[in-house]
Amino acid sequence: MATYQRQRYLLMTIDPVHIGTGGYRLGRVDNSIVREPGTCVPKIPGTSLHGAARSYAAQLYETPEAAAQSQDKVKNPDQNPVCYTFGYIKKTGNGNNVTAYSGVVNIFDAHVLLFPVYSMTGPVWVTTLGRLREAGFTVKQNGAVLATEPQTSTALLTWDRKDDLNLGWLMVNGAGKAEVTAPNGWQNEQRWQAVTNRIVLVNESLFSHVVNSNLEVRTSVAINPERGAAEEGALFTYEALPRATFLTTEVVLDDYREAFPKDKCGAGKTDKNNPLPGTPWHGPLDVVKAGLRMIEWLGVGGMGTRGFGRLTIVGKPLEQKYGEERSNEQQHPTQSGPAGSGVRAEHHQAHAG
Amino acid sequence: MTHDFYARFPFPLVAMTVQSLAVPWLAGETNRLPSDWPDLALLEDPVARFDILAQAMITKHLERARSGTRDQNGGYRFWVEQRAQAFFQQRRAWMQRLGLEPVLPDLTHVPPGSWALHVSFTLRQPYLSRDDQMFHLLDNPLKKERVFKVPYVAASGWKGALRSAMRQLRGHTTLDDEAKDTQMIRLFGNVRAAESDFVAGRLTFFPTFFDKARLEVINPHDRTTGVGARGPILLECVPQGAQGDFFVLYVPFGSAEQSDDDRRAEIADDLHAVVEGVRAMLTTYGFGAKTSSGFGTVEEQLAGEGKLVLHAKLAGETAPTVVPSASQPPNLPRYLESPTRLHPDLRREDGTLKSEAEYQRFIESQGRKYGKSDKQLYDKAKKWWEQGGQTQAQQTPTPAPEPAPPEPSPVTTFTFWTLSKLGDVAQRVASQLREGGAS
Repeated sequence: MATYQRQRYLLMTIDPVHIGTGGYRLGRVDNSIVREPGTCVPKIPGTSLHGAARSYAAQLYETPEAAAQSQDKVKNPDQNPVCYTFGYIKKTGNGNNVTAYSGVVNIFDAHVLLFPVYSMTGPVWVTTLGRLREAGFTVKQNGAVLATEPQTSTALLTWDRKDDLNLGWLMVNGAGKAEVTAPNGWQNEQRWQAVTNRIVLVNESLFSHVVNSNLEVRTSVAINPERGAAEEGALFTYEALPRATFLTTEVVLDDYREAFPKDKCGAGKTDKNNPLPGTPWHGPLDVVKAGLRMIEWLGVGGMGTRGFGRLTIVGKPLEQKYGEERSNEQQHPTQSGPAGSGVRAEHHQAHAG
Repeated sequence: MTHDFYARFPFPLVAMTVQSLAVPWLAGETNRLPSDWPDLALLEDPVARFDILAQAMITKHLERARSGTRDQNGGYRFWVEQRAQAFFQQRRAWMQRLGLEPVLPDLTHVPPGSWALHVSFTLRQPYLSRDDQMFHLLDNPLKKERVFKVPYVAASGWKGALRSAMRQLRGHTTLDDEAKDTQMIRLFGNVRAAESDFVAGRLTFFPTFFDKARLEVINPHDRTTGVGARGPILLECVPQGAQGDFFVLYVPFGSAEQSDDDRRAEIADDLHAVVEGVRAMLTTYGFGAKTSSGFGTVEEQLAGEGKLVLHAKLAGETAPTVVPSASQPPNLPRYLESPTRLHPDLRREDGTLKSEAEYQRFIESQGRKYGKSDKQLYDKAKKWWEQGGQTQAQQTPTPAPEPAPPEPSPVTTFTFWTLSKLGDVAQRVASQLREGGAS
């Protein structure tokens, strides 16, 4: 039987992250970023993570051609763990026979979980009840599990403060104190603990406004090398998710082929028999993890070489195999949320590439 | 109730007397709240207070709010000189807990041929920049980190400064000149006007955070009368003597069809060129704003030990430094990899502490003798583990049998204390690289 396994990653931006829409749109900045259509909250598309992870994994395995648009230059794609993991097109007989293999991992969009905003008490991290639940966190108020969202103009805080609070330009009323508990695997992470007493829960309808009015907006100008002064008309603005934004994403393993080529990478060797940087790859999820880890150094999205796009993985991903309970997550006594109800059939038999 | 922050604290709309009492409170000069405006107490954070105080721009209190009175330092100047350092340090400690302060990358995780440079510098001349925030008491506030409000050099600023310094070193005056320089393109990516052949540079830059700020002042004079034309202009700066850390990472992405020798020669050339460029940028050309007036340069003598870390086999290195010592963030005990995680040498696959015998076997497997210092290190690690490190590490033991660990990649660290020494080190390493890594 094929193996289905799901990992939920908690990510944090260590640079501003700019995943551009790739063109000029009507907006308040020249280069705008990708947003979730329904909510207008910026996100990191799964395709970006997939592409970056594939490219970095291919470099690590010393077969950069495995990340190219076509895999024609890969000598033996069946034996390449990067091709196997992310999918490939195999051509035989002078390119007359084309077989496409879908990848065996699905990487989903990374959604904003905790968004940093400056307030009159310093930086706070804004989120909503739904987002926390979806990611496996527990929210309690006065010892009981919180069932309803705070009203639109109010906010629940995880520290003691009764007065009003501003989230950027917006003032909200304090609605009391809440306790947020992370899933077991993340509870003791230093990064989580650094923000756990600075969380603000707002109504979902407010969240998108708070996020969108507090994105990092930068202005850049190109310098003309001949004159050493600013280039005419080259001033442009762009927006980005700021540093210290927490996001969650899911990676689902759908190993329908059960033929991961682990001869070399499982023994910690690259294609050229050099030592594989990091830990050996025993399966497709290790390939994804190695690729995602590189994002911590080289980033995802636009303007990576000038200090944009780095994301770090916080703690270990929460794991769940199909039909089993999540390994290291807290159980919700009353509400399990869409994430706790077992793997949905998110099984895309799409073409590779 | 109003839902606008600025409308909630309408500085220009309160009575004149309340305004003049509010200024010293908002600037942190006094703890006495204006009794007619108790709501101000909600503003716990100094940056938020200055946000409100910025409304003084349209009142008579502007100069008072910026720099105090004729005989007494006050307002923003008082805060910057007396309080800002403690505030920035506290914020940077928080950023460190979140892992936001850059450290030298662990090169064992990046492809071979990569190298990284860490230069810990002292400013010889103040550094200037301009913030994107438009609403500020000053006309020229320093660029601050968006969330934590710490002054910094953005990575994009470093990249631009280095590219421009190298451009001038090489005498390029037009984009076309630069577009023909394959090494510049390899390092920094295609030039801006390029229509096609987009390429990303091999260099990656990191931000540099500071914990000091001061106000510089310039006073433009009227040409015809020779007296001050429009009063002093305040420029916020990071002062002379402040320390910062510059990092750059080089990852040789690119075609795999190249021969190993060519590739190594290319990496050596790049190392040499970048180090020359970094020296020129830091000491001659400067970084930040107003570099042509001499701002933004650093001392030849470094503030701390500089490091060049290289992931490659080197000729003449008998035993490559296997332990990636550079992977440890500063100020961590040697037995830790991160504040909650043991060093790879000391932990098992599942994250728990090795037994002493296991650790001894590990040391000996590397051809070293298990000496007194190794034992001391193990004892310290054990103590940490037993005193709560165990619960912090939170590793659920996984009994999965692991194959023998792969041969670690060679990562070598070179250190230096002055910028000219860095030049020497780079030259030596580059020539060793060119000679090849036949070991």
